[in-house]
Amino acid sequence: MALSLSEDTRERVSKLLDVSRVAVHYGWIPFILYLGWTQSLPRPNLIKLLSPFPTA
Amino acid sequence: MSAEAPAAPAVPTLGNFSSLPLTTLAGGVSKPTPVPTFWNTNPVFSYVNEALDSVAARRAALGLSNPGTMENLDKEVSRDVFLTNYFFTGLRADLTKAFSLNPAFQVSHAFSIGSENMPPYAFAAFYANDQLFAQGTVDNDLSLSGRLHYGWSKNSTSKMNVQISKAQPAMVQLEHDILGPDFSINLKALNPSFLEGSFTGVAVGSYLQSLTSSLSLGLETMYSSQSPMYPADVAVSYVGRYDAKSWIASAQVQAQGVIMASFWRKVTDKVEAGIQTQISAMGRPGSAQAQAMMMGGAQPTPEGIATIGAKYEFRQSVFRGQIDTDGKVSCLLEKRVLPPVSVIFAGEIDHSKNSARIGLGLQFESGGEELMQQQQQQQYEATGQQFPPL
Repeated sequence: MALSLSEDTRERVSKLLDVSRVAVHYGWIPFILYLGWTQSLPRPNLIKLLSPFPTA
Repeated sequence: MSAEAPAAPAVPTLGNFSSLPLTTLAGGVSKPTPVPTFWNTNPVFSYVNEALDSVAARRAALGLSNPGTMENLDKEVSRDVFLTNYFFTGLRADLTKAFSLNPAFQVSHAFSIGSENMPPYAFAAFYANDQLFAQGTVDNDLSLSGRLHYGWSKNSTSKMNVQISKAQPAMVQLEHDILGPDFSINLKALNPSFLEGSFTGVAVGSYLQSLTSSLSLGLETMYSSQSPMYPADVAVSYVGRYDAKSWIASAQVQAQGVIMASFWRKVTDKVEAGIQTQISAMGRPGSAQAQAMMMGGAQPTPEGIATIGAKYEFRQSVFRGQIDTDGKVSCLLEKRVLPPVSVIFAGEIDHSKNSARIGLGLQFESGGEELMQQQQQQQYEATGQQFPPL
């Protein structure tokens, strides 16, 4: 499975991977929170969403 | 092979699907014959199609069921009965908040002191609906582990696992599961990359096939290449599983000379018991001897370990206990004290090393019950029924 990539492409791909790694690192949890927040029917307020204390 | 059979014209629209009396349809629906086109009337394709259909019909006539996945081969023993996956040390508190049940959405905060492998603080979020499952955990060192499952259909699921932390290189695992009527295929790639001129990373493919209604056999191949400079590693392992409903036996022969056998039995409907034996021709991985061997020293001697355990499920608590041939006795008790609060106790005594480990945990759940009530009410309102008297 030889695949010759030019130096240029290789650099570009690894840069892209680096950027996406950072994006996933800092964006994954906010993404899930956003998804859940928009989809749950009574939208919880943000303090309730993030605080560890049980709120009635 | 035609992918999806076109929907029968009798079905009105997809929107009304849930209102259809589906229970009466079960078993009575025959596969609609495909519309004749060039692709299924030309002689070559029709011959191939007929052959495939007859093979499929033969297979269907055997009445086999899906064997389950390779991952769950010894799930009953190693994940349900044994407490190894649940064991922890030190003090720990988990606060879980559920915000919605369908789609499921919850967040949790986990605090821990004096643990060997748990971070002092971790935040987890979890979202799941019928197709998508997304979960992420981030701890106080900002290391993230994430999971994403997407179900393309009932029988085909793609999975992605990601682990990113500041100190270690990132890890990505891509996986695809295909569950056929009598077989399962799993394809996995760990850190796949083509940047170095050829494939680097680990690729795993596995196939599990039901042979009779209880016996299934399978094999798994692994191809791993860390760098194009070094020769790649290839390994094949063979597995078998016999599921007789009240008991399950499974065995694995791995390429590195490891033989694993496990046996699970349902003793009563509240008690399950399991035993697992592992024999390794190369010594146990991670042991002092195996490390010495890596350095080019000692001759390998076969080593083995057997573990026997039981799980008791009571109305408010779950107890797991196990003992192994290294002289390790451990137990784990989960008890629900109040509806939202449960207490977990974990203890282990290692008789050969003369050491003991202990763990105590508290779990708080909030939101679950209110949500359940709320949702029920919504459902009753939607269907126009009376709210049932409590």
